[in-house]
Amino acid sequence: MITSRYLVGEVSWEASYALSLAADEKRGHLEGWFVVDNRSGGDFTPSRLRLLAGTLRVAATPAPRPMVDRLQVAMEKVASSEELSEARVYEVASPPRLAAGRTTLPLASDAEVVVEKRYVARSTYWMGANEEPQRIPVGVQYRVATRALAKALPAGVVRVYVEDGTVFTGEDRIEHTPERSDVEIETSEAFDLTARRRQVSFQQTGRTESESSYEVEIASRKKEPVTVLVREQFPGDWTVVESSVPPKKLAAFTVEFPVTVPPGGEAKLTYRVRVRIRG
Amino acid sequence: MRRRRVIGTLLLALPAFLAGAQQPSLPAAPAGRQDLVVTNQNLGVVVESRSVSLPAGRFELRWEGTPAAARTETWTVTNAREARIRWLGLSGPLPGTGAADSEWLRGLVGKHVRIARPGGSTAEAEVLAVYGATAAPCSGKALSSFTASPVRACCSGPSRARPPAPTESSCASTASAPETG
Repeated sequence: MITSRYLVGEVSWEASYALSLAADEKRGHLEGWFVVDNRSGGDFTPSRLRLLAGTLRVAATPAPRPMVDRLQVAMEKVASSEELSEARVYEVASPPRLAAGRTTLPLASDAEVVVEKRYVARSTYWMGANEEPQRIPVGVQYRVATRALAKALPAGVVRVYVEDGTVFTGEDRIEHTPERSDVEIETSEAFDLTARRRQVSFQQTGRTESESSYEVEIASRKKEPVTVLVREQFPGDWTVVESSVPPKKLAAFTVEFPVTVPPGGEAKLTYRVRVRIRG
Repeated sequence: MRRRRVIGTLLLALPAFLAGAQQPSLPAAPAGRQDLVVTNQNLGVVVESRSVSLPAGRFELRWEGTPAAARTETWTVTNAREARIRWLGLSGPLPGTGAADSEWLRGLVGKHVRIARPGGSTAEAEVLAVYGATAAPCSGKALSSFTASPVRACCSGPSRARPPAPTESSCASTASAPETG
C-alpha cells in the first residue's frame, strides 16, 4: 500500500442558504447546502470528504472561474463539523462522486429560525457645510437567530424568499458564523419608506472642531408603524450634543437613532453633533 | 472534454535486502482509497492509498488518474517508511501540460493552429483569444471564429510569415469544431 498526498487546484466550495420567511416575517425556515465546484480536470470518488472553512494563507490564489450550470443534488444526510486548528471542517457523510462541475450537498436541513425584520438607514457624516438634502436608502435587514441549527455556518450567500417560498426578495453574503451567533443580512431597499437627511446648521468651533445639526425626515406608506434605525458614522472624537431620539453608540464611529414612523405618516429626527478631528 | 492524466512516474526503491531482480519495471498503481479535503480557497488536498505489488529493487511506478490541476510540486509519499520503500523522485508533466480545459485552451493564444472541420476541410489560423461562452470580439484581417467545445475561440487567417507547424494536440482540440462565422 502506497499513500500519496498532493494539492490540487481548481476545486473549491461555498455555502448556499435559503431562508423562507413566514407571512409575519418573524419566523422562517433556513436550509443550507455546500456547493462543491470541481474544475480540476478530473473526477473524485472520495471515501472521505471534508470541507474546510477558514482563511488560509496561500502563496498564490488562482483567479476564480465561472462555474458550470449543472447542479447535482446528492444525499440527504447533514454534514457535521468540528474545529481543526484555526479553521472549521465539515465532514460529509457518504460522500458522492464529485464529477466536473457543481455538486450540491446538504449542510443544514430545514431548521425553523426566529427572524427579526428591521429597517436601517445609513448615512455618513460629511465634514464641513453641506446644505443639499441627501436621500438615504432604507435597507431591509433580517437578523436571523441560528441557535436552532446548533452549528457554525460557513460563509456563503443567503437567499430570502417570501410567500411560501415562491417570491425571491434578495440575497446577501454572510461571513463564517460561529454556533449560536445571529446573522444579519440586508436583502433590499424598502419600497414604502423614504428618508432624507439635511444639514441645518454648521459652526466651526475651533481649528479642528465643529458642530453640525441635522434633520432626517422619514416618510412611510406602510399600514402599520415601523421603526427605522438611523445609523450615522462620525470621524474622530464625536459627541451627540442633543437629539430628538436618544442615541445608542454601536461602535467607535457609529451611532444609532431608532425612529418610530406612524402608518402613512412622517417622522423627523433632529440631532446636533460635535466632531473633533485630531490634527 | 474532461482530461485525466498520469501525475508522473515515481522512482522507488525497496530496501536492499529485499532487492532481487534489478530490472526496472513500470507498474501502474490502481485507484484506491481517496480522502479529499476541499478548502473554500480553490485548493484541495488529496490523500490516496493504492495497493500495488512492488517488484524488488529499483523501479518506476505510474500514478495514474489524477486531476489535471494536481500540483505535482506538492506530491509526496507519506508512508514510505511503513511501506518499506524509499521515494527517489517524481517526474511529472510540466505545469499546464494536461491542465484543465480552459487553462489548456488559453495556452493556445498566440499559437498557430490547424483547424480540421467536419467534412475534412482544414484551415490554419492564429488563436487570438479564448472566451468562455461568448464570441470573441476580433479585429484584424480575414477573421473567422470557431467553436471549440466548451469554449469559443477566435482566430485570424494564416499569416504570410508562416510560423512553426501546429502541434497535434492543438489540432485535436478543435478537430470536431463546426464553423460559426
